[in-house]
Amino acid sequence: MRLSTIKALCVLAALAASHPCAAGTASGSFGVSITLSQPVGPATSSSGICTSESLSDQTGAIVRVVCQTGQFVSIGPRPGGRFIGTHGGAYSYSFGPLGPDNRAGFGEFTNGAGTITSFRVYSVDGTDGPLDLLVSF
Amino acid sequence: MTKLKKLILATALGAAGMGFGSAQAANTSGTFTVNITLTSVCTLSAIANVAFAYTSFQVGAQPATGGGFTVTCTNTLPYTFGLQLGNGAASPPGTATLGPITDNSGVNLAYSLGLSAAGGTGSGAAQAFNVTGTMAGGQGGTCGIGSCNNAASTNNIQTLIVNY
Repeated sequence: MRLSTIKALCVLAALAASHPCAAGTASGSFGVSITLSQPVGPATSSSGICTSESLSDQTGAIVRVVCQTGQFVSIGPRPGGRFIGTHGGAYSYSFGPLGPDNRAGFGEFTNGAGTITSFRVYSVDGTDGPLDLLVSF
Repeated sequence: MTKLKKLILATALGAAGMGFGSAQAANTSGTFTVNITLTSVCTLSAIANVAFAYTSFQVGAQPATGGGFTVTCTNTLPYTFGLQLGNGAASPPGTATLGPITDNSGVNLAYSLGLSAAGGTGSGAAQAFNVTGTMAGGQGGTCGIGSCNNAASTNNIQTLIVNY
């Protein structure tokens, strides 16, 4: 059989079977290793307390705090910060049609990942819906 | 034996020993053909592990390291590569990329795999390539301590196929 004929048959076979006219295969397996590390930077301190103030004074800002398990996550005023004098504890608020529902406590939001250790509402002016606070770590 | 006969015999033996003739009466010869059948093959070296070192929520994508391998194919033999999920029997030709694959070890990170080339042409010598990988940025992953790995994973072995 002429070489050109063989090539033509290969092309036809490849088109019909949707795979190349291969003479053989060789294969081998390989592993995929992953090492996941926690970020090292301003958000994590050696004291075991991690804070993030980036964008904390902007409306609608999303502030992400990343900590190792067991570390304390604080969301609230710091001495000398812009929230000084306005705090009174840890609360969450729901602004529904029946009026404000002031709840104090810990771990109020249980439908998300992680645990909320504490939270604070600074200003509720103009707010007519529930105030959602998400902390994930 | 007379002296004359001895002289004649000695002369004949001497002539034969000097190459002036032999006892062979004639020569004959024939030709034959040497047939060669070459079966083209490719061999694949061991493939280095593909490794990701990732930091939670890192902004940029993380490329993988490792994944190197060599292919040695018969000179001028074309070949292509394919990837296959898992470490089962090869089902050629495989795909050009894999993923995203979410590792099931608990680190909860997704990655994609590719190849440094779609294939090549054999040269008779080893030719080097890489399995490439990338892990998208912004993933948090899951890790309760400072650093975790996927040693407990059961879906971290993949397959490379060389089609020729």
